[in-house]
Amino acid sequence: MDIIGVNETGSTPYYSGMYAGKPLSWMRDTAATNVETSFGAIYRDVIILNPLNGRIDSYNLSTFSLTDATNRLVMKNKLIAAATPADTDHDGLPDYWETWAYGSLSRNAASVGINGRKTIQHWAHCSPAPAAGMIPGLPVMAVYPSDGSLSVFFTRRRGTALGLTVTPEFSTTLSSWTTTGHGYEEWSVRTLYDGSGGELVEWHALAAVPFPYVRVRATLP
Amino acid sequence: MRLLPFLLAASPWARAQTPVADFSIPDENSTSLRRRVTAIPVSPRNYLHQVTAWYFGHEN
Repeated sequence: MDIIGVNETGSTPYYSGMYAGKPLSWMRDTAATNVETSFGAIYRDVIILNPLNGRIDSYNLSTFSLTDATNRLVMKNKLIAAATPADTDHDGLPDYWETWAYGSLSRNAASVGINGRKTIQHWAHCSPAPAAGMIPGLPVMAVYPSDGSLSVFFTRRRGTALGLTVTPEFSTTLSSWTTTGHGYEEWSVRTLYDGSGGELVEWHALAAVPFPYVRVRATLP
Repeated sequence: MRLLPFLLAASPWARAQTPVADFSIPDENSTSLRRRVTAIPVSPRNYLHQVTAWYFGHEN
C-alpha cells in the first residue's frame, strides 16, 4: 500500500519538515485541480482507495487523533482490511482483478487461455489486458555492454496478496531447474508507478559462468 | 452461489465502483520512494492495481 500526502490548497508557507527525509510522496493541491474536493475529503482525512481507484473508506485524524491507542488500532485495521483482497470463489485470484480482467469470476489460477498462458501468469506479471493474451512482464535476459555480464529482468505484482510468490528458477540443461547455486542474486527492485501494480525486478549474474536459462514460477498456496 | 453477490457487495475492494477523478501533480518530496525511481507526477492512474491511502493535511 502506498500512502500519499496532500497539502491543502493555499496552505502556505510551505514547510518540508512534514516529509523531508521520509519515504512518502507529498504533493501540493491546487485551486484548479482541487483534489480535496474531488475526493470528498476534509482537513486531516485519510481516504483509502481500492485498486481501481474507488473510494472505500475514510478516517479523520482530527476527530480520531492517532495519539490515542484505540484510534491507531482502528486506523491500522482499516488499512489492513483495505489491503486484504476478497476471493469469494477461493481460486487464489482477487475478485476485483478477475472481474476486471475477464468480466466474471469464472476463471481460476490454473485456467489456460487461448494463448496457452495460465491466468496466474497474467495476474503475477501484471498483464494489462489478460483477455487479449498479452504478458509484457515475462522474463528477459540482457547483457551489460560494459562487462558482458548477464541480468534477468521481469515484472512481478507488488505485495503478497493471497500468498502469491513469483520466483526465478535457473537451469543449465532445461531438464532440471533450481533456485539456489545458479550464480545470480536479486539485484534491484523498482516500483513501476505505471498503473500496472507491478515492480521491475533484476537478478544479476555474479558468477563467472552463470546458468544460461531462466524461467519465473508464480505460485499460490 | 446465491451468496456471491452479497459477499461481493460487502467486500471493501468491491464496494466502490466509481474511480476518483484523475489529476497530475508533482511529488514535492525529493526523498520519497517514488521520486527516487521516477520523475512522473503523482496521479491516481499511476496507482491502479494498488491500494492507496491519501492524507489531506497542512505542511505549514
